[in-house]
Amino acid sequence: MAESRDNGQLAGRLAAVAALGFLLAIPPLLTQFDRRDRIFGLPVLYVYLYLVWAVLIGLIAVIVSRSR
Amino acid sequence: MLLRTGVIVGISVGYLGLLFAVAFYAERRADAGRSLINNATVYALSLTVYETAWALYGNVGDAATTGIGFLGIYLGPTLMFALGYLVLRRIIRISRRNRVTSLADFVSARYGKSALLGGLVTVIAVVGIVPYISLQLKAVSNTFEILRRYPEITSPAQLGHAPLLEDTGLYVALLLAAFTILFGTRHLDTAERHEGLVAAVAFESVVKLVALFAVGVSVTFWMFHGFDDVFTQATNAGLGRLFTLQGNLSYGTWVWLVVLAMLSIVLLPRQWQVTIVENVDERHLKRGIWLFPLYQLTNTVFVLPIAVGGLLLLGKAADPDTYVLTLPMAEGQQALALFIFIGGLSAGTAMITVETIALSTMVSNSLVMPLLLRGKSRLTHRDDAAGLVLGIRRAAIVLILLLGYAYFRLTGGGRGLASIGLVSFAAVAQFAPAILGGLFWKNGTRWGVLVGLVAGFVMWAYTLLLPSFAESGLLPVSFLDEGPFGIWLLRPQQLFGLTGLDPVSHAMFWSALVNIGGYVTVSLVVRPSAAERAQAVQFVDILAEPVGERRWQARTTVGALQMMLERFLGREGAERVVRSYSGTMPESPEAAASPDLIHHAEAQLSGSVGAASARLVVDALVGEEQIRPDEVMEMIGEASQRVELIRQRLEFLYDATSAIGTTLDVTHTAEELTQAAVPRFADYVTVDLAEPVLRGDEPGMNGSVSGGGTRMRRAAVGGIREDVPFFSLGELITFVPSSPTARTVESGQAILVPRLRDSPGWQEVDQARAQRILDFGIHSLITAPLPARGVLLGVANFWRADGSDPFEQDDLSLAAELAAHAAVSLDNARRYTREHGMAVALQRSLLPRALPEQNAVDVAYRYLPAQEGVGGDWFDVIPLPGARVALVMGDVVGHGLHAAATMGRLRTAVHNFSSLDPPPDELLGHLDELVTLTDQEAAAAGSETTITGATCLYAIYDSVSRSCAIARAGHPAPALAHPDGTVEFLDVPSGLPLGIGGLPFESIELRLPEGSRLVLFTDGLIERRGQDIDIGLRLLRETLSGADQSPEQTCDAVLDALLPEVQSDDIALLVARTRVLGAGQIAEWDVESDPAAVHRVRAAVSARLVEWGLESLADTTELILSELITNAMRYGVGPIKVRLLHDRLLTCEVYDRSLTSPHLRYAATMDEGGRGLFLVAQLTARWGTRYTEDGKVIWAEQAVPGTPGS
Repeated sequence: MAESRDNGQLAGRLAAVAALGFLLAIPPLLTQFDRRDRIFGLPVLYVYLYLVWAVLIGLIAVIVSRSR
Repeated sequence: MLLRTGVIVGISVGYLGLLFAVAFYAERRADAGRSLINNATVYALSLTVYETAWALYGNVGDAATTGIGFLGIYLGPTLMFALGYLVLRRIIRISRRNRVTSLADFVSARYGKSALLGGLVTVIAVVGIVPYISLQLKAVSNTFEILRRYPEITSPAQLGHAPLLEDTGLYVALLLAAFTILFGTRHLDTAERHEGLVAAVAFESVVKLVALFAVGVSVTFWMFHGFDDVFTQATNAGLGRLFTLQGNLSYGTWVWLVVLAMLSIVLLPRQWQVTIVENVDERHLKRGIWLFPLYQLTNTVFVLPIAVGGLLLLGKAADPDTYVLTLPMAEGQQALALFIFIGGLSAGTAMITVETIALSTMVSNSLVMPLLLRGKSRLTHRDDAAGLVLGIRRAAIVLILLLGYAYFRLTGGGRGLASIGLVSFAAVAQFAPAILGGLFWKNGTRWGVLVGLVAGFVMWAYTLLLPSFAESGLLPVSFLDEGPFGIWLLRPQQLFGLTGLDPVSHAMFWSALVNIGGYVTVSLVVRPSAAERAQAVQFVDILAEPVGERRWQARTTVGALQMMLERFLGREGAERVVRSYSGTMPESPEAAASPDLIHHAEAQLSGSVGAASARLVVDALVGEEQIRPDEVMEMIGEASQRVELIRQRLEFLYDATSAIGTTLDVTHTAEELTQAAVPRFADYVTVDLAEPVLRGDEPGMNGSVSGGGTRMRRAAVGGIREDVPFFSLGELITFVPSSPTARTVESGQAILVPRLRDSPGWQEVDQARAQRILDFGIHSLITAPLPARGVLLGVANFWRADGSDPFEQDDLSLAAELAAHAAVSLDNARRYTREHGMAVALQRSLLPRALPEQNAVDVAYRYLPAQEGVGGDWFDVIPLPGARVALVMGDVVGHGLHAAATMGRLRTAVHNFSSLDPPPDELLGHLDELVTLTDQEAAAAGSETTITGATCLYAIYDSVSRSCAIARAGHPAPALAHPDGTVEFLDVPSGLPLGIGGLPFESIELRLPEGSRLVLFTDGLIERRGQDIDIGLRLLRETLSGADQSPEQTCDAVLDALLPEVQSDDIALLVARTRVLGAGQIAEWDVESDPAAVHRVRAAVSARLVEWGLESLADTTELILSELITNAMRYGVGPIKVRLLHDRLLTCEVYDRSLTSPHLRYAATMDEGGRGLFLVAQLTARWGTRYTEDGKVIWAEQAVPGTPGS
């Protein structure tokens, strides 16, 4: 039974990550970075989207690896 | 030069050969049981079949026109995979459990296994995916054409329209068809798994990643000086708009892209194939959900730099869709160009192979086979059904690829790769409501899906597919601009005047609206069928189960297994099962249970709950069967409840049956039945028995009364309350034929009356009483027969009243069982009663009914048969001539009829011997001899029961001389209570019990004072289990001492003091108080041997008789005496003595010293003598001879007139 609770918790955490990702990937947050400026020589939106993406992947990996 | 057609073709074919080799190797490994793809990383890599040739070429083209917006297609899958545990795991598990092997199968299975839906999904998938396949063909053939024209850089538009037979696309299509057929349809696998294919996909995923990465590095760091340089130059060249969404893509479109990608990563047939169908282990998903996004991130990070670089370096000289290839070509990097071509070929091949295999599975399983089966085609009766299926699949593969080619050739490729891909994305997104809705919403129905899917598909075709035809000139452009037939409102890309959306968003909005709307609305309106509901519950609740991944492949822990066993078998039972396991037992409960152990557990369990249930339970535990856990729990609950119920009933039955039959009394046994069943089984119990049973007789047909029905007597009533208006105890009840009781008697079956109110038959027995019983609250009845040895003793009625549930069918067997057991006890009691009664009757008939009249002693006696049966005790009081009396007390070994019968024989023998009037020791000697002889005869006849061991005591008391002679054969010595109150146990030589033989018996003779009480008894009086015999003797002595009591009083006192609570042996007690014949009642004369003396004696006697008032007897007495004296003078010797005793009788005795016994004879007519004794016999009531120490006595008794009994 503990196993199932573990799985349920895992699913919940991952769903939260998905919600966070979706929130970050759509307006209005997205709009804040939708500029032509560059940062470290890279386009801001390019940096932002890849950063969000990388963070999401990192979160998923951490959550999954911690679940047993 | 590297980039010659021959080289390119050679390397391409060589690469495909390599893929095939990988696949072949993987399958060999799989057959050997060392699967290559049972690996989370391989699984994650196989997911990258998502990255098609589009990803390689089209992304760059897309980025070159719409900028960074292309990323939406890649963020979507990451988000979806984050939801993977919510969605993907659920789908995987359902597919595994239901053996679902394709998307169409899944939809069909979810909605009541509808073949129509499966076919519809297949059609939509094929139609929707064809553009996508054509896109791959286009990418591969275009890049091939461009590459082989090196060093010239050609744009696809310049390639023109080649004749059909010269079109590379056709050959690519055919080549890939052959490749796919080789890969995917060599043989059939029931799980539709293709290990080799998956391995090849994982392998090529690395190739395409490295290829694109190489190009990206080359462009960014070789052609430019890093990211900064690329982006700075781009900004300077006015390409800065590509860095934002604004101006390229509306946010709405962006969101739609993300959502579409989210759906596509699950719903594209090839993704479904690799993610769900090819999944080996649910746990692999855990790595896939982050490794796959990471792959995508790596794969796309150079897309924007390449696009910008291509725009800067090549501009319009090349199609942006081909920048990835043309940039290396332009820089002269031939090897890199060839590498990226191979990467594209690789991606396209993988996509087409997996996609067409998935589609062909759908086509054969969900479309063609159902049609063939429904049409009962002769094809389905072929022996080689597998060959038929494979043939259908191969044909489907070729057909789909040709369709793709046709689409590619017809639409010509006017549009970018990305937009074609989106058309397919939008098509498969139509499945989303059906599948995702079906996963989470139980109420979704078949008709809802049908309506939604058809509407969404039509809307998709109208707003996306047809416009793509129009753009490529297959339809007039006016169709787009003015609407069909000029109907403005129906313009496909501005349907009903909806403007401001790009084509994809527009199409998605409308199709989603009608699809979801139709699905939800119709589902809510139309009631689902039972099959649908069942499937829906199974699908939606699949994750509610408390199982982990471990349960997948028949895996479970020892602990879980043991717990399951405990649920069914109890703790001890479970331990027994585990102990009986022959293999080695893992130490820890956490350890995985071996298949052997699981099998063992199942086998053991099946002994308890049946094979089918055991199978179900174990399957549920190890997670192999399609059964929901809550069902299992329910089942387990029901089963254990049932087990518990049965256990309770057994316990009740055990308790009840051990409480019934503790005695051998019929009525008491019936009462015990009522007590045993109340209150655990019934609130009230009544027992009615046939009349003869109560008397101990055989129950016969006399219970039935004329006109049918039964008459019985109420034997017991018991219940939680006393004041129930049942028939009362002892009442004789006549049951009418329609009453439950009569029906039970007739059928011999227990009868259940759940509602007494509805039973007219029951009420008919006594209407008024029935009404009172009902009013009392009694509502339900079971009437159970009491059968024994095939006859019915009576019935037991179990009643329940308000506050208890009515009896159910289940209770019937329990009641019958209980009654049957009680019946056996009743019958035992009845038979015992009967036999006991007979033995007692026999014994009583053998014992003296009334003691004979005699005046020597006052006598009182008691006889108490043992409780467990009659015994062999006896006693007797025998009047002897001469105012004497013999007292007899005896005891035969054992109990029962045999003992009673033996006792009867011994008693008769003693009686007979006593008439010879021997002294006690002599009498016992005769008796001993008799017993020995009898036993010898019995032994010779084979009988095992003997008399040997019987004891006897014989005493003769003479009330004239006050002397008492006693002898005994193993019998307890009698007690003597003197008139002064002292008590002694007479020291009579013990002697051996009868039949042993050996030493002769000895008599003692003592003189008793008048009023002495001689107490004779059997061992039953003084012997007690667990108590010394001396205690009994002492008690007896104490009781007898003290005040002089009459024999009756003495008997009472002795029994009061000595009667045990449980009488295990029978008791006989005889108390004789001695009397003495007064001197006035005795007259004695010595007679000299002279005939003249006779005369003198006659005169004296006559005078004495007158004195005693017995003148009437004077003549006869004189006559008798003169005869006897004359005889004595003639035959006898020595002095002669005459004695008269006036007691109850008048006794005349003549003593002499001779031992010659006179005997009676009939004198002849002419004889002078010889008439004396004859005369005496005529005149007296009784006469005889007895021997004394010094001679003999001839005596004669005459009745005294006026004395009763004479």
